[in-house]
Amino acid sequence: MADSEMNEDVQVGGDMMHVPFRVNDEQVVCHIAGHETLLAVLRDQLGVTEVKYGCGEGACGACVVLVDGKAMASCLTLCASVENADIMTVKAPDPSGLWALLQDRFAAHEAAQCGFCSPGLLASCFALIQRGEKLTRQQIREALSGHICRCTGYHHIVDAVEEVMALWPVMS
Amino acid sequence: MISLYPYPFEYFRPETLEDALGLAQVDGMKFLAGGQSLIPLLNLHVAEIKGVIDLKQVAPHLKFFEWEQDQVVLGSFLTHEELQHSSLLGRRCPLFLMAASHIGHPRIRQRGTLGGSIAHADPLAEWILVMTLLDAQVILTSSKGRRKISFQQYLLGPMMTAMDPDELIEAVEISLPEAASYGFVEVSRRPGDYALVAAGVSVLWDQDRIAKTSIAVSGVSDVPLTFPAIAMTMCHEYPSLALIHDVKRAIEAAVDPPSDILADASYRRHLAGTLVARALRQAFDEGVNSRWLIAK
Repeated sequence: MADSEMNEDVQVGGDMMHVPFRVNDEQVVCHIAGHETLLAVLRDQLGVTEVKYGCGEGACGACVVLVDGKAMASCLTLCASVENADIMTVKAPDPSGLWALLQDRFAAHEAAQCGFCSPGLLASCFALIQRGEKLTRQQIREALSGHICRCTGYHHIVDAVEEVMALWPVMS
Repeated sequence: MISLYPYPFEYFRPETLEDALGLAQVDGMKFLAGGQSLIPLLNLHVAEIKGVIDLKQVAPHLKFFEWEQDQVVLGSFLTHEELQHSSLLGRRCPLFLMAASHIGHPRIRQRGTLGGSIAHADPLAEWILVMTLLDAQVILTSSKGRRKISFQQYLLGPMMTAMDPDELIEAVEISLPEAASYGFVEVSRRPGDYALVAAGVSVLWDQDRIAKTSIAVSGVSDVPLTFPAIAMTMCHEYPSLALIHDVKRAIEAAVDPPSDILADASYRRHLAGTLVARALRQAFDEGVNSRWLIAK
């Protein structure tokens, strides 16, 4: 408590607050300042380092996580605004097996090379496939256009997603 | 590793619009809607503020389509995606669908709002061009009261508006003439980027003749330009390729774009003419196919 009180004095931006939310099915309460982004809290406070800092502008998709099932750029989300939300990353518990299937097909199609974009991409793909639509290759590209991958040239990613889209309704 | 996180600021999430407007009285406070324009500025240290007023709780009151006979009032909290996929709006004014599909990518369209984009006032933003073209009325509210100004009065320059610091965009009012058709064309370096040049047109019809036209082009000046004199020459004409050609030439002669790192002046001039021509073609095609022409 003494520590946190000291921190509060140091805070330029005003009051610290306690924000409860869930990360990969674990309940947490984070002691944060108003300006802290969800990305900053996930990486620096909770050590959830599979979430990557890419551009800080919401353009690259490396920091995408699922907030109540919706793909969101965590760099453009203030942590204070996700109070009581359910955050999921690629390391979430996986009773349905969809995360594992995505990862497996990404690996099989060599849709990851350096891997920096993969956690964000997989999160967007998870949300996309859970919506249950059957998309054409062009529509998959459009749906994933908020992600930048500098290695694969995207063809492999589209291959993997196309396959999961065909497999998932059968498996689930 | 140095990560760019925002400089410290305070966070407020008021329960009511009154509370939100009260908080805005404090110097240096910014309203936060979808955060797709404001938070990048904070992340990259382009902007420094005292605090944000998160409008999350207030949002349901600012998310509405209010339909009247010849106009629609759009709540400022409508997202780009909601505007893109509203089938009623798409039917009365397909311009919204056409323009929204160029905004960022699906994730940005899901969170970014109409009001946020207009408040941010990037001169290359699709909504800034659309509002200029339609000369929308902007409804501003603050604890001192509500006022309505035309978009022409509202947009003062790039990222500069006539809004007071404590004012909030509540809605925009768009008039929807019965016999109108629209065109919107944009060129950017990559899909989803801000436009290099974009053009929008609206054509009002009197049977199979043009009654009135508006033309707006962004990316050739510091804010989108309209061309009332050129538009006037189209009145009472029949739609034709020859007419489009004349207008294209006139637009090319009328603009004096700057050169910058993305494109030089001559390319921007070429785009202005070509994109207006293509947008007119869209509007003519749509007009000719529509019921008020067939029904004559």
